[in-house]
Amino acid sequence: MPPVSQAPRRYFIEFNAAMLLYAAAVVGRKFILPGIGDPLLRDLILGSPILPICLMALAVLRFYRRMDEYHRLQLLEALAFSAGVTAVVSASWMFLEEAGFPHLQMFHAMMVMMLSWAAAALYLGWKDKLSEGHAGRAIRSVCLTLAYVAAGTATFAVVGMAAGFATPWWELALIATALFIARMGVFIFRSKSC
Amino acid sequence: MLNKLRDLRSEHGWSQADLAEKLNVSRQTVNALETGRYDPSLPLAFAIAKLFKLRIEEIFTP
Repeated sequence: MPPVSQAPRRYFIEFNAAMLLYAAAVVGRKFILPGIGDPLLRDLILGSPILPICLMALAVLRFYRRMDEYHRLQLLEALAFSAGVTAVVSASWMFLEEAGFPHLQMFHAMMVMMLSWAAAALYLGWKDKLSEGHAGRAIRSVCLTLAYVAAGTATFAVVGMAAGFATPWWELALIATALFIARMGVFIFRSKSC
Repeated sequence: MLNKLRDLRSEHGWSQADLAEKLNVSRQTVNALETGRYDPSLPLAFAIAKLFKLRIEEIFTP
């Protein structure tokens, strides 16, 4: 069994490799599709992002199996919390739609699950830091990360505006995500243990 | 459950990271065990007892 301390690094590499593949599939199919006439091949290309999504799920599963028992418990607690939040939100939204709220897709339920999972994981990690007396350090680290992501994204937007391009919001979100991942990478690869 | 993990670790002059490495768990797990926020599984309790050459009930008390 590989050392537990290596688990976050391996997960970071595996998950982000799958993310890159996903981005390549989503962007690439737009360029490839216009020249495809065969319906079967067209469907296969349209569904190509499914493979990297499965790889992402596999990366999470492999990470789970490499974790120690305490972190497994934390991950499952966060997952249980997110499942509960998703159930409540999706069931409530069904009734809100009858009251005129916009109709949402299944994709939005996944977004709710991912965000509530991340929030629960952050909360559990925060509790650890508090018990270790490192709350101040954790707050400083979060503030630095937010400042780094905000400054990098703003710089990109300003440079784009100066060059006469209006950067769309999704492109800025992509830049912010990439900066966040880079920051996490530095944090994970610098730390001695998870 | 109470435990003497912090005392035993100090006696051996190990840091939490040292003990974590010997048990193949994370440092956070050692901290959670020492502060009583987490009770170990039976395999981990046996691994701890073996490391300190003690019986489980000499380290953990209900």
